[in-house]
Formats: sequence, C-alpha cells, structure tokens
Amino acid sequence: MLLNRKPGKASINRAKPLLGTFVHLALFSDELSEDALLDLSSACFARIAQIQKLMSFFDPHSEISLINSTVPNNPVTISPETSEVLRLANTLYIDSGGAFDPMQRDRSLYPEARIYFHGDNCLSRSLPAAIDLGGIAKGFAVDQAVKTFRATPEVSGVVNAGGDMFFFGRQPLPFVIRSPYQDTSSDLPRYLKGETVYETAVATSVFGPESAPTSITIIAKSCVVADALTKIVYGADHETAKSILNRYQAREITIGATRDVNHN
Amino acid sequence: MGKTRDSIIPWALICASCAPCFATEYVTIEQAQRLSFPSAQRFDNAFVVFTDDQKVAIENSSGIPVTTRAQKIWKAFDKDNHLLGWFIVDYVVGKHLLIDYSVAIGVDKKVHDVEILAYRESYGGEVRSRTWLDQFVGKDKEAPILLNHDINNISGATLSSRHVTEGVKRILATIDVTQ
Repeated sequence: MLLNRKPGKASINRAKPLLGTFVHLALFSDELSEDALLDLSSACFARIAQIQKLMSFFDPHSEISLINSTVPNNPVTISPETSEVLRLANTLYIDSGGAFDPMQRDRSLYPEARIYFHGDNCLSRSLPAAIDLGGIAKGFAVDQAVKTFRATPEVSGVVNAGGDMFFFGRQPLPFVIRSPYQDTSSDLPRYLKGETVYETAVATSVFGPESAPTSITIIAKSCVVADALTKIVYGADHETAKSILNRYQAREITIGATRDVNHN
Repeated sequence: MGKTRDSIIPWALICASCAPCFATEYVTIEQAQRLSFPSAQRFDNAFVVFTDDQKVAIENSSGIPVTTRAQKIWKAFDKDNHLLGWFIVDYVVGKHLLIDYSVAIGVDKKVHDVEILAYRESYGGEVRSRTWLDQFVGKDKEAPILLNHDINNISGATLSSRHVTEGVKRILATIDVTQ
C-alpha cells in the first residue's frame, strides 16, 4: 500500500464509508511508525463516527432527529458539538440573507425560520421546520477529525470527506479540483491544478442543472466554514458573498457554466 | 457449484486492469483484520461457496442481489479460543469500477467495522501524469508524491457510499444464512 516509502518515513492511507460518502485519510510522519499512524487514524475515524451519530438527518437517534421531533419553541438540550454547528449555521443563515438555510420547510408558508439559543447547549426552533445540517456537518466532522491529531505535531496529512478536506501538519500538500465538465470537447482540463497548502481547508460543491453545472471551491481556515460558504457564494448576491468571504478570510475558485475559471 | 472461492479474485483483477482507472490501495487484508479485531489471536479461513438455497435466502433477507458464488470469510478467535466474530472481504461496484472492502461482524451478528481496501475510479489521465503533477510539488518531494497517486487530495469528486452500504447489508445476511 505504500509508495515511495523511505526508511524512517511512515505513511498510511485509510478510507471508510462515513458521512454518506467515503472518508479518505492519508498520514505521513518522519518520526512515528506505521502502527502508530494506524492507531491515530482509528481515533480519527472514531471521532467522525461520533459526529455522524450526533448530526445525521437520517438517524432517528441523532440529536438533529431529537430537535426535529420536539415541538417548536420547546427547548432541547444538546451536545456542545451540535450546539456549535447550529450557532454557526444560524449566523450564516442570517448573514447570507437565507442563501445558506439549514431549515427545511415550505418557504411560501414560513419564509423565515430561527433557532433560539437558551444558554450554552440548549435551543429551540421557531417553526415546524426540520433542521438539516447536510450542508455543513460534513465540514464540521472533518475539522473535528483533524483535532484528534493536534496532540501529535509529528503527523501531517489530509482528511478528505467526499471533497471536503483539511490539510494539516507541517508538510505542504497539493490539492486538485475536479471539473464538473468531464467531457473532452473543451480546453478545460478535467482536473484543475489547485495549490500546495498546509493548515488549510478546501471544500467543493456543484450546483445547477446537470447540463450546465457550476462548481464552487472554497479555501478557508476551517472546513465547516468552507463547506457552508460554497452554498453562500452560489446562492447569495455578489456583495453579500464577498463580505462573508472576507469575514472568514476565505477565497473561492468557481468553474462556471461558461467553463471559465474565476478566482475571488 | 463447481466453482471454487478462487473464482472471485480474477474477476476483480480483470476489471481493474482493463479500464483506464487508477486504484488507491488502502490497508492490507491482514492490517484490516488487526484493526477490526485487535484482540484476535488468529483468523481461521471459513470461505463459503453458496448453495442455490443459500443464495436465494441471502437475497430474500437482504433485498440485494448476490452476484458471486462464494464469499471470503474468516473467523476471528481470541487467545482463549473464543469466537470474536467474522471478517469478510467483499467487492461492490462503485460509480464505475470495483471497490474492495472488508466487514467485521461480531458474535452479536452486528457490524463492528467497515474498511475500504482498494478503490478504483476512472479519473482523468492528467492526475496520473508526472509532468502535470510536478507542478504541485513543494520543497519536500517525498510525501506529496505519495499523495498525488491517490484520490485523497481531489476536491469536488463527491462519491456516494450507497453501494458499500448495500454490500454490508448483503454480508450481514450472508453471515446469518451460512454461519
């Protein structure tokens, strides 16, 4: 499984079906053994599984299902993790003018929805709307996965959950963006050269009809922000999107329907 | 019924070699066994060739078609010779090509672990080309080269794990029917 391995340098590749996709994990270390990296990777996957258990929309035992089954305006006590994501989701919903919206509902009946926080980890929602963190929880799970390596600075690597990824550690690593246009009729390559980065999150979402898709890649300091901002850059007006990108010190690379590549 | 368990492997290899794909190899079967059953002392081969009745029973129980005639199964035992569970290696078709994965099932007949062993997809030739990849490489060439051969660093290639989830369902029924 190891390519180009030199004595004294260990690396591992693992992947598991989690978060509705495949979570790929690559780890490198000059100091640690392969077995040590395997142990670290197990802890990382366990953390992702924990987050999935808390925030899955489809798991009837998740905290999201608990909130969604509680009568509106009744408070629910949840974990600090779910609370943290919901606070960010609520802030981004307000700041983006609804371009990022974690509340599933009939918008003709309920144009606005709110999450109210009562103390640290207690909240209620204003409407019979179903909270769905599908647009943000994957990025949050990646951030939490990366935190499991923070006590081990000898490790560098990347966690990639279906294109939502974080490059961590001292080792600069390259990323590649898959173009939504996989035919060979245009000059646009099927894979775009990204950048070589470290301590950076990258997330890509593809929007629009299959015949004319738009791919939006966000480069940010955290994956939860990168994940959410793909939706904001697509849905919000230009000025709003720009101001939110600036606030989170994030950048975008968009491949549009005219097959042009824009960096902002 | 004349087929042996070996009939599974060449099919996987043929499919993998004829398509313009690249494969990412993850952990080996031995590593996956250790990761799934850390306290296991040994893994006994318990490969199964399905009878027609077993095939139908697995399909009825899981709702998933059985396309192979056999299953690679190992039994995991601890140092006191107690059965810890079953370790199974299986294949499903991903978006286009085969994914090899393992499933660990405990004596409670519940899934304890799923590990991807190899992942093949028909990504573009650009990604594999060294000259193209060299544009990325930073100061230290060792680690990035390894990464460039994987799909670890591609953003925007969202892949559904639905087929693996279905495969795991079929494996659970297989253990129920055959063990």
